[in-house]
Amino acid sequence: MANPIPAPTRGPRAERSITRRDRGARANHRARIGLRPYRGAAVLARVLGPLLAATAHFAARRHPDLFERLAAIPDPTFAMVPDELPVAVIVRADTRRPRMRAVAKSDLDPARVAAVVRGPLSRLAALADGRLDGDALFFSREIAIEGSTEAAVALRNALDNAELGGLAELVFPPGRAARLVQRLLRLGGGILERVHARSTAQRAAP
Amino acid sequence: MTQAAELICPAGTPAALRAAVDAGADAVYVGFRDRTNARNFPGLNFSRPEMKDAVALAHRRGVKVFVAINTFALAGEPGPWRAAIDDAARLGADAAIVADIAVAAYAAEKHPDLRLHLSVQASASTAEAIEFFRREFGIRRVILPRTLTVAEVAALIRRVPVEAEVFLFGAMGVMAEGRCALSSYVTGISPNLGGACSPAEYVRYDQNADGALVSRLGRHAISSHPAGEPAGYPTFCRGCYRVRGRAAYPFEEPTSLNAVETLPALLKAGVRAFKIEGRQRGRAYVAEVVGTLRRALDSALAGKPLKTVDLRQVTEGHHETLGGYAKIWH
Repeated sequence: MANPIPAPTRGPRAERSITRRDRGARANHRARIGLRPYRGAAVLARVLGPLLAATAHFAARRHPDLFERLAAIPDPTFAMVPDELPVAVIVRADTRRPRMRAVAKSDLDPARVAAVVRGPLSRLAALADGRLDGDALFFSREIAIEGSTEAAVALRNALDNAELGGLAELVFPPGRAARLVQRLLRLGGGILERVHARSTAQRAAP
Repeated sequence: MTQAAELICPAGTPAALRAAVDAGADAVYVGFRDRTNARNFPGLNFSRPEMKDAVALAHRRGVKVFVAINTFALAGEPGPWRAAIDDAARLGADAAIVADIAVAAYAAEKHPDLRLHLSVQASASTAEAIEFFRREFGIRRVILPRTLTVAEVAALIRRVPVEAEVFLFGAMGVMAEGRCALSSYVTGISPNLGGACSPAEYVRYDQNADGALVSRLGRHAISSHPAGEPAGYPTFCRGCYRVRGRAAYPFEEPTSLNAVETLPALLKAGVRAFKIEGRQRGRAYVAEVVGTLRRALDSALAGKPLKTVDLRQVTEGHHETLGGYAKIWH
């Protein structure tokens, strides 16, 4: 079967020579394998930016022990890659300059982070909260690790001890607003989990 | 009548300790954040201030804290192990779990009031070995190797005048513990001195295009799990190798010990404490396993019939075994 994606060409001149038809073929292929257009991912990454930046800021203030457990890792930068979303979340767990941002999956370079953790969004969220055991998720193959295992293990242990209690607890002070956001996130997580289960079943179907 | 028995639970972090206490632990075993304990993993274990708070919290709730100082001191460099013993005593630990003769001797001499338990890392599986540690260093409890049958445990308890603790659940160890050097050959780092078998910095996972997960230690492949197949820890003893032309697990399959069904027999044999393995596991594991086994032990102590315990979801390879308690090897 012919490859629907045109062979990559180099240089700005060659880039200009890509026809509208080629772009259409790429878009169709990306849609078939479940990826949204690049532009959508970039917009989503930009929208998530301020929320993630605020999360990193509050996490550093409220959970200094989280960062302290990662102190032995030379460059504690991690990528969390949810299966269902077109973006990856990059976490830089450096006490002096903590940072969280989103990038389109196509822009993620695993070589520029210490470790990459992939899996369904609900599982990554549960791992971050310590609601599920990291080893159990690994044994069941629900999450996968790339890069430095040392960094990934340290991250897992640091998160597990931090008892973050959900994204809401990080961004909002404890109270009614945090509980409401927590509930909404849980609802969103449940929907994502059902979507994930449905798409997994469809992929598994003959 | 069955005598009382303790449930000894793992905690790799303060959060896991709180989970263990909430779930019904009688005692929690922990380690300092260095190579003096056999779970010296990145981001795991307790700083000295954390240990102080952990002991205070546990004692407020009537739970004991045992500090594992169960690796072997480096020749000519006993400082970290002596400091760990000193700090365990100073911070009010209820016992130190030791394996090394030098560490036991130091503790017995400098802190005669500190209760000593003999770690499974000492691999003391004979009455003579256990008696040596009791006579010379005042060991009050022995944690028996995971290679003994129920009958062998019972026979040993009849011959030794110290309390016996056995493993009830968690990762298996079918080797002579404290003496395995498989991972040392590849990494140059001894699990018995450095506290980590298959140190994480030497472990890599590759996801093949066909979905297979290949785990490697150094340059050596340990296992290749096809897509969807449950995985295990990346240690050589759990590796899948080609043996006489066939892929097999010659040492040990990825599996976890679950000896709940032997509880009545082990209690009858005189076991005084049941240990749950897993200081490297998260607090969700601790809460689930401790809670489940608390109920099982209480039922067994009350002489009630045991319910089936299904903890496969948290086990290695999603597989359980009775291990040495029903061993079929020699």
